[in-house]
Amino acid sequence: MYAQLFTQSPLLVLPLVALALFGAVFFTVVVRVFARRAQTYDAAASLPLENDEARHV
Amino acid sequence: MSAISEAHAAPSGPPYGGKATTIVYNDQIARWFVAASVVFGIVAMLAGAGAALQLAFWPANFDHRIAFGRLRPLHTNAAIFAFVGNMIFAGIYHSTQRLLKTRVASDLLAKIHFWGWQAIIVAAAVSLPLGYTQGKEYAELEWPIDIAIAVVWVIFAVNFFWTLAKRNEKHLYVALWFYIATIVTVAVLHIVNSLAIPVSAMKSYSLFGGAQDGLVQWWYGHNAVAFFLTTPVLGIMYYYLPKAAERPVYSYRLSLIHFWALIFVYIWAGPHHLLNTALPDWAQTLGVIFSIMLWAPSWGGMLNGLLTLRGAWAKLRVDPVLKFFAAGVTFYGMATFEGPLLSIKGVSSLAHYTDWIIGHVHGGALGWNGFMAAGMFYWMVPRLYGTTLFSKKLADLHFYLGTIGILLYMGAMYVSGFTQGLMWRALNPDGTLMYPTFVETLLAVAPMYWMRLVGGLLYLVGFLVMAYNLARTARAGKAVDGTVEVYVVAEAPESHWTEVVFGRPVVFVAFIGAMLGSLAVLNDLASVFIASSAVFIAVVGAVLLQVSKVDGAPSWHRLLEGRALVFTAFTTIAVLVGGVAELIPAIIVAPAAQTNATAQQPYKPLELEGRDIYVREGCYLCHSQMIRPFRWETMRYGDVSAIGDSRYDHPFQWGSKRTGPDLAREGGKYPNLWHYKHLGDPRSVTQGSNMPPYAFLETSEVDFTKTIEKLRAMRTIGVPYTSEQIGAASENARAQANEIADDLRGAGVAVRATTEMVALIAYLQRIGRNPKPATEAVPSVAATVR
Repeated sequence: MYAQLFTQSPLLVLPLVALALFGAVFFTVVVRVFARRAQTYDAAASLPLENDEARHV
Repeated sequence: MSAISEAHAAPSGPPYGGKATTIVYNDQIARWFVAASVVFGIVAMLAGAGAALQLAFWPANFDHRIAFGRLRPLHTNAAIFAFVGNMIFAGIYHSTQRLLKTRVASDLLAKIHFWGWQAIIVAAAVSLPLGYTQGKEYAELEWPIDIAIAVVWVIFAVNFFWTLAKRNEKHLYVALWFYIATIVTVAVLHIVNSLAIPVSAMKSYSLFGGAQDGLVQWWYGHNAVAFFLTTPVLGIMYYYLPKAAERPVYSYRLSLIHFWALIFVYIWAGPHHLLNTALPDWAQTLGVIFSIMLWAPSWGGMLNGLLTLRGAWAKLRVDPVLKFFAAGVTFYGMATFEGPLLSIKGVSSLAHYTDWIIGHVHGGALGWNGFMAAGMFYWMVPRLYGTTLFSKKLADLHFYLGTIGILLYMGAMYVSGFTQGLMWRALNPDGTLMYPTFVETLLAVAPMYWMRLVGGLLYLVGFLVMAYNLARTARAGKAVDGTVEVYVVAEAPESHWTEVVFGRPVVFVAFIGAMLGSLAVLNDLASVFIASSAVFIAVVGAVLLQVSKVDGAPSWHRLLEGRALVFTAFTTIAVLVGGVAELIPAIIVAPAAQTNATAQQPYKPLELEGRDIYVREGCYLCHSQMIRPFRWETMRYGDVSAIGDSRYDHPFQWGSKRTGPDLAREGGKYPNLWHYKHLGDPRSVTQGSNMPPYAFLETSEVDFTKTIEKLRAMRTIGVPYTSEQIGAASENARAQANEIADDLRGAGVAVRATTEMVALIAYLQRIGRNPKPATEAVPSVAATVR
């Protein structure tokens, strides 16, 4: 099946390479992110909550 | 870059010797964009209600300039680019300044962005009813307006990235990542899909044709939904939902995975709009796989939004902002569950071309975009005017009117869609079509079209209530700009860019990716060995990366979040990977598949003129030109469409909806007289049809002096017209027009050969078949209804 696909064009390897790349990135990001404690991100997660609504007329 | 100290929230004194500075935000730009969004939201919904009325009650097509085929693009463009566009710009300007603790870099560029965008909207509102269109859904605007869009978008991008560069908060919050992805991707999508060869000041032909144009168009169309209607609104969700709930986002870690997975996967899913068509199978399969993969990141983001409300659910009863956000995110969850479902080939075979898709789209547009916009406006406007909301009760009324309106709308479209899909495929026991005349399936759903109109009007009334509420709020207060006091310290960046770009996770991923990529060119034995090695190295490497981390040291992604330029570059790569890997093979491989003996030959000059009229009137919005490989389709419409059938179609006209029958094999089915009568008064030959009348074509003339330029432009983009054909284009067009006019005269109808009516008939008689020998005439049997 693959041989038949690639006879159309060797360029059709591109989607497979890209999918493999995505898999590698995704796997790494998941492992790295969830290996850290949630509290590591508390400061970043709180950024929208900072009081910045002082008034200037 | 300067950086703000951690102590700015409780300024007991400047740490590290920092200097106190008061930042005044430019909130005027947010006020303008909010006002523009509300005004154009009303316009978009009025146009939508008008189009809904036209489908239920054909006499509402009382003027050809606002007949359904021209009004529908006006509705979609106004909803997407005017209503949602202005809304996301309001949110981006307002939240970005606060998240970066800095004023927008250039007030002038912001003003140019605002007025430029409104000028584009006005240009669209004028040019679409006048019939200036490229004939590509959600990308109808002609080439000069396309250029203006690109220029204004670049101005917006420059101002945004300039603001990033002068930020006082080192860390880029997740909302900003989504804004970055939006800005980069929309630019790429718009430029690639708008590539066209101009013929005149307001006429152009798409650079791509047939299947390639289909793939590029739906790569764009799908990602207009993804990166214009979704990612910026997700950014808005990540900022305003925690603000309104007064608690941080449920899981920042999940937002990280949500972002990268979403932007990488979304860009691939476009071909799910072309399932079971003549698009190559490999491209359709990619569309299916990545659409199903989208379930995970979409629902990850949806749950992250909803769970942010944990412990705050009681507030929903009293806070209209949270009410709209919770409902909006829920509609996002519903729409993103339904999207992958519709991308399964079997489901698509039932749902595609039906009103089910219209229901799906409006779940997203009215539920997700409309409600998120309302939540953001109700939160933002009182603060922009230093007051409180004029009436919570009116906001509640808006919420219930909107919710009931959406449910009526979607319910009507689901019933209509299922009915259409099932009736189209229904067979008698002897194998014949149970509903052989298409109009039967239209009459069956007519009540649903009225119900849709009622639902849409309820939603519009709710929106008007919001407009009144916001206007009274603004009048009660006074325009104020937010301020923040920051302690700016001269601090070096946390890391050198090379530490991020060549960081261990990047090198690790590149290595694993290269190993996996090599599988495609290796033999079976080597593939097994390499794949096994890749998995082993991935697991061991991940463990080693984890073990080798230094306590307290910032993570690689944390460093990345401090480097805006590198972050943007990585985002661009993630988005481009999908586009390049999908589009380049299609553009290069597909032409080879189109060169069979029965492939389409170039249109004759008059047929090309007729095709331009077909595109101008938006016929493709109700008639597909793509017969799918199903028995019930071939029985109703003719042979399955092949990739070569439309190779010279710039733009392609495969369509996405069948309010009327497919026209892929229309040529030669009926005599010229039938088309003449049908176009002038559709109900004279098809009782119950809701098609607008096109009698005006009988009095409007074709400008044959421009035909030569049209053929020349077509040759430039690859249609093999000879110099002789181009030189004689006008004469040949007139000659063919005279033949058709003579044929009609023989049937007792006097029509001038130079009219658009004749040109359109020439095109309709050509669709789906190549020129036949002159002796073979079109059938003379009187076909009446189908």
